[in-house]
Amino acid sequence: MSATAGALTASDLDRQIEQLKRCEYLKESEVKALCSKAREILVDESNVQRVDSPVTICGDIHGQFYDLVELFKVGGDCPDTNYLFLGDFVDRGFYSVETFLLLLALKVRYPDRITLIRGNHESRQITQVYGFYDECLRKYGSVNVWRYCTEIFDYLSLSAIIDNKVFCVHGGLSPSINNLDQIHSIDRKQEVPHDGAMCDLMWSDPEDIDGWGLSPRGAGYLFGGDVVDKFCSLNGVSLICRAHQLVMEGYKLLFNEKLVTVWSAPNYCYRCGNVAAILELDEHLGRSFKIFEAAPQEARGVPSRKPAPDYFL
Amino acid sequence: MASTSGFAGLTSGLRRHKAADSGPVRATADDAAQCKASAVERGYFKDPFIGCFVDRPRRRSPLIHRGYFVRVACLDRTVRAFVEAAGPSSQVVNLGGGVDSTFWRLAATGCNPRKFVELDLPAVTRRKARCIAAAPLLKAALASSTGEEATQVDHGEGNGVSVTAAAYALCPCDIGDPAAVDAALTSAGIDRSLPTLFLSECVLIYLRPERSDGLLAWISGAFPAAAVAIYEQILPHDAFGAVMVRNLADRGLALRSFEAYPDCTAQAKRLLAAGFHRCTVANMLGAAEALVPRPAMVAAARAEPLDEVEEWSIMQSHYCLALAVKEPDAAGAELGGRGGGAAGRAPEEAGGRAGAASEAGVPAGEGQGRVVGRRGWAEGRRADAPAAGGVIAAAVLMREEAMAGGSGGPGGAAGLVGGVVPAANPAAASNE
Repeated sequence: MSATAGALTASDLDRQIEQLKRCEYLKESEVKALCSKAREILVDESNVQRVDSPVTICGDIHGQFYDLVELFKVGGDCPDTNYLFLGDFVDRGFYSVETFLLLLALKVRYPDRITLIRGNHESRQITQVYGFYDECLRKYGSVNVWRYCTEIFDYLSLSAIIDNKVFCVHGGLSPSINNLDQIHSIDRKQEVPHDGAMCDLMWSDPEDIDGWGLSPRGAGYLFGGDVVDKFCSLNGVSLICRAHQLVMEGYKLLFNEKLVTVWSAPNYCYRCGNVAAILELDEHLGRSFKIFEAAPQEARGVPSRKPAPDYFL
Repeated sequence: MASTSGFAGLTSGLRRHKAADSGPVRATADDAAQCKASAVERGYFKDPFIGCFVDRPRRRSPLIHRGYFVRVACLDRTVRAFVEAAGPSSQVVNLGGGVDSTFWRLAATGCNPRKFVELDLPAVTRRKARCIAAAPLLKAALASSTGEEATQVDHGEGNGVSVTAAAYALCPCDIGDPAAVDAALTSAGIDRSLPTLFLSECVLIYLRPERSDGLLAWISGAFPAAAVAIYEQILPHDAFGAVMVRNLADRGLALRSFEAYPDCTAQAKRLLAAGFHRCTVANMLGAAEALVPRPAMVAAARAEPLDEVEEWSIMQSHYCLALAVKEPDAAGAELGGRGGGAAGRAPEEAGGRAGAASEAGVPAGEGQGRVVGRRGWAEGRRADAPAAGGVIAAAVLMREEAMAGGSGGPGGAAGLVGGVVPAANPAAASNE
């Protein structure tokens, strides 16, 4: 039994990864050890984590474990493929625990081949509304695992930059941020605040407006094409890549292809009927989108509960 | 699409007798009550009564809460406007009322039609009667002004339970059978000569089109002054609609009228064909804009964070509110509406607006009138409608200008979602 973080060996991790790939969650003690090891790795990452191409960028997953397995089929296994996940690993789907732990175990096992940045759902407050808290309580009988995981959320990076050219973030831009140095100066090790730069990075959305607008989400801002142009030219960025918004076609290019939304949760909430996408950037930052659909029912394991999403009845 | 043929196959493959699927349909009554109770608990709206009908409250998502809030707000607004316009002789019939608390919620806030009658499957009436008997809060509201209590009659296993009170009645009834509805309403003391509003919240859509249309035609034929408010699903053919059909089929639910009335225009045509003089139909984004006051929307937005903005637009655009009115000639005069507010508004002449947008007009069929529709909204007027709409039409129907820029796509939804107005310069405000 791995009592301390230091005792977590590669073979322990390989076994845990195999177990998680079968959608079987880890013991509470294993989660504790995994999180403590993950913290050692994440604490050294930058608020704007540097990532080298080629890399495959993935948007929201939201606990849709079997669709994440489908994503790896389409994009290739980690570590063969270098991955960047843009946050929102948890909430909404039935398997937030297995989904986040699998990604975290891969991070600990292959720290240079997978980058995880924080989404607005990696938050104590939001997970209590949208399901992750309840799921932890249901699966472990206590909130300890939720505590370990939300503690790790605080260490996740806020953004990434690929080859100094592609800026990646969960939500979008902030009126408090003009250049990347301002992101570097954020003290990120905290719960997602209700406003300010850190909040905006995770909550904002692009919109067909000039300048800034209030967000219908009640947090973050709407930002227009002129804001994107200015940010890109000031920071030498050619593309902003973000997730956060459901796109029925899986991805959506905006503002003369200077911004792209990537959405990786097919048939979101088992209700929306959308396809999902991942964005592959080659070593020249050439773009190719791969589209995939929800995992078929037979791939979801025998005893798995059939989703019964809510409607107005 | 595969899902479409799957739906058709499912519909035709269903056994004839309704007992085959009354279980799952019955379960929707409990589901709706649970969702409303969950929304009330989170502070979306006030309803101290809904809890009396819910055994095991399960917390739902903010999107579900807000959707039920909008549905309740729109339907309450419609009932209030009708009762105010039609006065103390008004009657309300809740078709497939389930274990809903609408009667109590409205009565507690001074909305008191002459009679409020609920019709539903026998098993639902049994469950509802039991809830009423067990809750002093509900019983007290049913007692007459002279203190006379409600009476319950058990019709035996499988036949349901009736509840009769001074202003309220609950009757077991197969609402797909107009003769049965007729008999139930007569026994409940409904007077056909009086203006009557029929409500259908996700009910008619479970009937085959000929049965739901048969019921609507019977209403417009039997009642000289009638209105209907239908809340149900639209857009079965896009990706979201196809998944909804599949997901509900997995729960044993077949939306039998879904394909026949796939959008607002089709709903409007059906209402004119059934004999209603005027109608307005909007998806729930537009309906909210027309019927829910902005401060109420803002208050709801504050109840919980809603991080389901795109899904909210999609979901609300797949439900509609269809309002239709049949009025006798010179309706306003003889209905004696005493309601100040609603009736005081100048009755808009629906036909005039229809003419103005005639390029978008489509015939309702068989010379029944004209329907003007665009995405997410439709308005119709029968050829034989009285020239001017009466007080009920003015009070009940939605007004296009109230939906300005609203009902179509997600663009119009932005304001509704958060109930916020764009600030002039938020950048300045957040300058730290």
